Amino acid sequence: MSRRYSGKERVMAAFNWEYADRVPISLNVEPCGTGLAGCTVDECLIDNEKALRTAILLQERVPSDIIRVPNNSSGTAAAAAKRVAGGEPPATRPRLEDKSNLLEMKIGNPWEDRFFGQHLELCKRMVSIFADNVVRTGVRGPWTTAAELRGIEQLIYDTRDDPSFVYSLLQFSTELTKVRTVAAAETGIYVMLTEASASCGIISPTMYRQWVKPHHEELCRFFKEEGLLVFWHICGYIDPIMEDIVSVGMDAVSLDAPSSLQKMVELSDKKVVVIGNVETILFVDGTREQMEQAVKKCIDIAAKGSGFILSPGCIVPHNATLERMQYFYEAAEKWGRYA
Amino acid sequence: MSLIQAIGENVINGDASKVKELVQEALAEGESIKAILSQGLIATMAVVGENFKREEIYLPEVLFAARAMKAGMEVLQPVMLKGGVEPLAKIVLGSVKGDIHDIGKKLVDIMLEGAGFEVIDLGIDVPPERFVDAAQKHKVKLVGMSALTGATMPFMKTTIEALEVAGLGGKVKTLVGGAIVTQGYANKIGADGYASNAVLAVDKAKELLGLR
Repeated sequence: MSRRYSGKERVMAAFNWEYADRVPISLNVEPCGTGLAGCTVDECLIDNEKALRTAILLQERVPSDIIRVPNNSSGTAAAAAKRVAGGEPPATRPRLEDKSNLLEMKIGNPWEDRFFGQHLELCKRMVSIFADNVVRTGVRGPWTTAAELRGIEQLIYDTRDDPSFVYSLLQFSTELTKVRTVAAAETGIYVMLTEASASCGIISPTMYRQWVKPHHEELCRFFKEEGLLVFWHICGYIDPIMEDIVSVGMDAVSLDAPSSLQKMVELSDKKVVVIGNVETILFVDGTREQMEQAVKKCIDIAAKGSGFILSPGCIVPHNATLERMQYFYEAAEKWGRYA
Repeated sequence: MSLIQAIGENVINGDASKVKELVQEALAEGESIKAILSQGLIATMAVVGENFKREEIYLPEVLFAARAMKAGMEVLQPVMLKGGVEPLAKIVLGSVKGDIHDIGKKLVDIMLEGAGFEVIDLGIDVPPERFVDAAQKHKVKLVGMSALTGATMPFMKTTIEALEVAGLGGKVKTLVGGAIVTQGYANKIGADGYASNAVLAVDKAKELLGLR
């Protein structure tokens, strides 16, 4: 009987184009596990002990090879803190509603940032607790950071109305991404760069190539020089820019459900590890059969030759059920075995 | 090229200041509001919508075009009000509780206004009770909801239930949309309609309100 590999061994096998005992899995489900720990999602976002307890209990129930650290790094945690205190978070306006505020923005020490520092502490603890797994966190990419600071709609208008401002803003946000990624990596964690605002559902391929791709290329070069292995995720539909994504030099690309896993596998030709992309709604109301079909389809398309990590397409809804996470896990065990 | 055609061309190019200038010129030259609105602005946005559906253009081009159309509408609206032009119907629009995404909803807002509706945009992160209050206060016929994440989608159902509890079920139609919302999900939560993009949202709104 072949041995059982650890989560970390399975993931590293995928990156080395080798086979472990089965396809590695990455379950982005930790908000759904808070019930196990008797706390709310908001409480997990502001209390590292509760976040840890949730992760441990969830991992006992549905073992994932890649474990995601809850996103308690910034505005999310600030809003959660307000709600836990019994208030409603105030409606926030983009920090760069006034463009001139960019001149005053500084990239500080991430450890000294109230929320990002707390997040880094949690990263350290999770890495030490889950030593046999890949533990990963998310850092916002430069375009999504710029969109958050300026507002995505206004940022899009700026690309035409004030391109030099967009250029300066993206330089700032790219440096911020570098600093945060390095700080996170120093905890031993793996980083997934997330670009929720860079899909073709929000920007055009032309806009991606002109404004975003150069910064992604710069980041990939930087990460390689630093010896960092970085995952990337662009939420939504990215088929029209898949060739660009493959050419940028990313180590691994996580696909959301609207994107074609088949196309990415063909285009990447085993140069990029592919992650994905089971529809997240199945974790809310899918049947066991539907989940199994979806998992098997992904495995059939992408697992041959290794270089594939099975995952939901994106973070699953908070009302996902443990039962359905278990369907996913069992389907992976059933269909994901490497002979 | 006629002024109306020039207005249309500049809507497609997303040149808001040019559209504003041309609409003012068209009015000054005696072009009818109806021709400027329906042929210069609405018809052009319909073309933009079709191009978007075929993936010949993407959201940014639609946004630029919508901004240009809105610039033209802002010239026409005071004239239309003065002339007693009534909106087709009142619609409340919002991104559901917890959802801070705005862009798609804003596009729907612009397209609905362009099509002749009066839109009460509640903005983002709108809890169910605000949808209900607005629907009652403004006596609307339709509530449109947007959600872009799995975490916030469930609030569409909560809002629909709140409308029913408030006695508005059946009196107010509900229309849902957003990147991960599907027709199947809309059926499941009891929404009256679903639209996958802003152009279809206008069609669906008209259909739900018996205006097609």
